[in-house]
Amino acid sequence: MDTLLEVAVTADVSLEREFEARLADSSRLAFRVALGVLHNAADAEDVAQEAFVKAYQNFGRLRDRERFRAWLSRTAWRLAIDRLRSAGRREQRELRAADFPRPSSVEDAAAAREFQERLNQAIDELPEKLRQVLILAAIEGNDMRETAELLGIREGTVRSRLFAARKRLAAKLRGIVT
Amino acid sequence: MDCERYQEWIEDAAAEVPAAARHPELKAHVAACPRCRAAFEREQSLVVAIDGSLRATLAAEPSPGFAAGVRAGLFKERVRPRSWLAGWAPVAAGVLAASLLVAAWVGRRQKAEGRKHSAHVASAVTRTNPAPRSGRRQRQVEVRNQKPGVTRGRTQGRLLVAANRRRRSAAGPGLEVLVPKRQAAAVMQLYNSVWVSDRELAAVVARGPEAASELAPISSRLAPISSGSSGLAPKPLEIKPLETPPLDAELQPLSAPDDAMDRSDR
Repeated sequence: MDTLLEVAVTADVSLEREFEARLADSSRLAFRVALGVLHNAADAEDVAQEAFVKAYQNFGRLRDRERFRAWLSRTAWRLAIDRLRSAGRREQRELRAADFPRPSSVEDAAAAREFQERLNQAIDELPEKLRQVLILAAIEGNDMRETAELLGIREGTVRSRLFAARKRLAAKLRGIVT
Repeated sequence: MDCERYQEWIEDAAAEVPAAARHPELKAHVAACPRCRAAFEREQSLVVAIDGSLRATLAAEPSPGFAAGVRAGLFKERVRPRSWLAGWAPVAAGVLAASLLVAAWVGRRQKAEGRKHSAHVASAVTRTNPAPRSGRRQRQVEVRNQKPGVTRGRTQGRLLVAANRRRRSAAGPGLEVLVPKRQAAAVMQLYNSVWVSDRELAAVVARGPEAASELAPISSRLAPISSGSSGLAPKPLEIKPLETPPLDAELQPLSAPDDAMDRSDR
């Protein structure tokens, strides 16, 4: 079948510029949301990149541009969850030393690695609503209000979900930290 | 000291946002009980470790090539080879869907027209003649191609044309009415006059003895209609003098009881 190389040039240059600005503003958010789900920097970068492509495709149709960060974080979350659920991904996942702070000694390193693995496992087992709040609230710069805006829920809901998530994690990790 | 009852409070207080022992009672107990204070501190340190670990993980920066990768992905999206058909696919799908809708609509309309025509063809002309020996006997003028049950109803016993109220329905195939020979001309004349004047046959016939005199003025209206001004092609009307016995002589009066007909239908 004959194909023509069509150059998709967005007629609205201002729209393109606006997207560029938001790209610079939100690139870390997408990456970190994906990292919170996948626990793997390389995978998180792939997912964030995919999320930006989707965002680019739909940016013109986004009614409320101020909600771009919320929309992007939801897209990155959904893509990361999809990737996590893909066959064999969970088994292949491994923690990379470069992704986490380096411990001071070998014992500390082993303990930190074990704790991190158990923590990741416990986070993965949380219900999605609790997990979303926990991760978004842990991303630097996100307070309760910001987390509530990103998720489109009330601040009080964020607070109660965060409390529930912490309690569940603490119940699972009690005994590791002495 | 009953420390067990404070255990859950301690866990809640450690996980609270922001972590603090809100309950004055718990606060007082933790201050007074070294064991519970240690438990509270342990629980708090666990929550702090969880938060700290999570924050440290999520503070990671993407690799230096990340931004370039994102831009490369966007560039691929901007410059993307597309099949020339791809642009027309939605249009073609829309045209196809519209065609299907139109075809379905036309089909339904034709079906509905067919149903209306059937109803017209099935116009029931019934008459009731007095039977000398067996009381009332229904003699039904038979109409071919009619739906079963159309001729039934409470109006039986009257000469009627049930569905012949639309001139356009006369454009369909002809109506075949079987009537006694001696009454054929009268029925035909009545039918045509009703068709032309858009009046109900029953209304004409039910007038009784005056029906015959009604026919002349009705048939006189044929001239302008048959001249083509209405755009319709009425059936040819044969105007003949009523040689047959007067139709009204055999008609039952309007007040004739219907229950005899109803019984014969059952």
